[in-house]
Amino acid sequence: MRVLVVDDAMFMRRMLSDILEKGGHLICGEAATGKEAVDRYKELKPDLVTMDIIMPDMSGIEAVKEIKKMDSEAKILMVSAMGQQALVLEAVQAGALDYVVKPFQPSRVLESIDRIVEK
Amino acid sequence: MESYLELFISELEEYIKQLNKQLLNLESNNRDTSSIIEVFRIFHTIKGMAQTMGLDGLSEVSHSIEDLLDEVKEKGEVSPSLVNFLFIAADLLSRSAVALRNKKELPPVRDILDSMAKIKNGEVLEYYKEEPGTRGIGEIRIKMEKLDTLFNLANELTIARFRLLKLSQTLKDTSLQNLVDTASRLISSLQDEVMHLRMLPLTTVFEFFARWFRDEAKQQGKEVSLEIVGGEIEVDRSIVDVLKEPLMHLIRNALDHGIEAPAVQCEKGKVVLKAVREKERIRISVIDNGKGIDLEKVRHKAIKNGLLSETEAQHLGQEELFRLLTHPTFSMKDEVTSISGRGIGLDIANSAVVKLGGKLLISSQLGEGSCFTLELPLSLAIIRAMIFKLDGQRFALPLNYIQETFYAHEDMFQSVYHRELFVLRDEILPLVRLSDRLGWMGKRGRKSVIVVQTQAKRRGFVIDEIIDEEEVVVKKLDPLLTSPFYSGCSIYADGSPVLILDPRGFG
Repeated sequence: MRVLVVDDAMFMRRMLSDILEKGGHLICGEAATGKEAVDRYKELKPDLVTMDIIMPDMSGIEAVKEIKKMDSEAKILMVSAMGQQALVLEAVQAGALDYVVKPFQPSRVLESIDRIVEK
Repeated sequence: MESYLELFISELEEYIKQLNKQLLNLESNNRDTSSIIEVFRIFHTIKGMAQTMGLDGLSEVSHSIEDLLDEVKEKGEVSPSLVNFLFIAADLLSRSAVALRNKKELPPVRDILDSMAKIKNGEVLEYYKEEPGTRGIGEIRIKMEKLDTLFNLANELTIARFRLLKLSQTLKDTSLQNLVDTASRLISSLQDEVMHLRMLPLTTVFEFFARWFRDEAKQQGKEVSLEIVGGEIEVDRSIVDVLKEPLMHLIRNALDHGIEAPAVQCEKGKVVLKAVREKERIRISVIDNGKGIDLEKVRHKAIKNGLLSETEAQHLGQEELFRLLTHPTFSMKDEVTSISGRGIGLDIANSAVVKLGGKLLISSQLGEGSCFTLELPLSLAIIRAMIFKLDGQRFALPLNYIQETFYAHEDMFQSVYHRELFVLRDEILPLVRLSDRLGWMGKRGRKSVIVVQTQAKRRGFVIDEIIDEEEVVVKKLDPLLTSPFYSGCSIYADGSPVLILDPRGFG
């Protein structure tokens, strides 16, 4: 699967990318803000997006809405920090398919992606 | 996780920079909502990163601040006292980043969490006690390397000052002399000031022990308190950096060997960590009111461990017996504990202070307690040294290595298998002819011998003539000139360079 990894922290992007690559996926691009995520999505048409919630420019939730407007079939996995249940819920309502909470287990991330693909 | 640490630290440092920038902005405009949101986001991101790295303290602090800011975000305004508090939190993050880089223990977060709880309860913390290393308005942060460069330049100026003074004395021009005198005074003050910039209060190390001690004592089931005195005394940063390990060994020893388990304890256990400044030196003592050191037991153990024969042991005085405790293979504890291991602590503490140009002093009274004192210079930049001559050239030897000196004629040296030695009060003293080792021509005939102790070795360094004992400013040697024989160089009063010997380099 071609994955777009979105997180404002390079550290988190690197870690997620490593986990996904080890799980056999291909990282087709990265983005550090919500706005960048939308632009990169347009340009790369990835199979899946992992999306952080709190980012500069545009929040992850706004980005989910924008992406969904462009492509209603877009597959998005939210990656949130603890204590953001309300925001995660909002993201799911906006069209995200699943979520994982930091600090995440690599297996949990990969399982979640498998589930999304099956959906 | 280790492989992500570098990325984590550099990103954390980047966020700290951004955070400070936003906080400065909020200080002048406390209703700047974009800054408030940005500060919130930074703490949020750090929280996620810290959680992922398993750094619980950092993630807890960031999480609490994020909570605190949630309300602020809605109000659209942040109070000046909260901005002040956030600066302190930013500094805690900075110190954590430094600790991670140096692979040291992270600074404690309890104080800051406590304050946060108070703020949440609506208390206004106008006077949050600033931790050392934090800064207020009117202070700036400077990289240590920049200070070092400044320090080296000031030292270079001092050398120029000596030469100027000498030149003006020969030229005998009054107006030039006046000018040189003024410049010389200014250069001296400048050097003092720069030296002072490198000083840090001892609290930077001491504060760590308060919490650590409580946990250790609890783990051992001992009722004991730690009192800290003299944390405000300032010492050179290079000393602060290396103090933690030897102190930890001493405090562990006090807890492990000194203080008894509650069942055999007669009075409440107490350990005092105390710093006292004496002129250019500092004494840091770890004092306990425990059982004290049983000298007869030390004697017995030394014989049992094969360190001494029975006759030797009987002839040892109190001070020598105490010194035995610092021997690498010596331990007084019957069983090895996880706390102070095999009793190698004193050995490590001892070699650490010697390396810093200091010494470890031990005193103890059976049944009353013990006192272990680290005596150290306030600064590594100035040391007391013996100045001596070899082949007309001056050298300096740090005093902390020197035990005694004596004159001897070369005829009195004995040669065994091409090695020279001297019989000093029935003791065989191996000799090191510095002129041979350093490639200089020594004069023949009457020589001076400096008895030098390094680690377990006691040797006589043969030189031409002892000149004086002086305080010298240590300068690093040019990297191209480094040699195991020298630890640095200095400038003698007349402006001529003096190489400082490192006796450990002579094998």
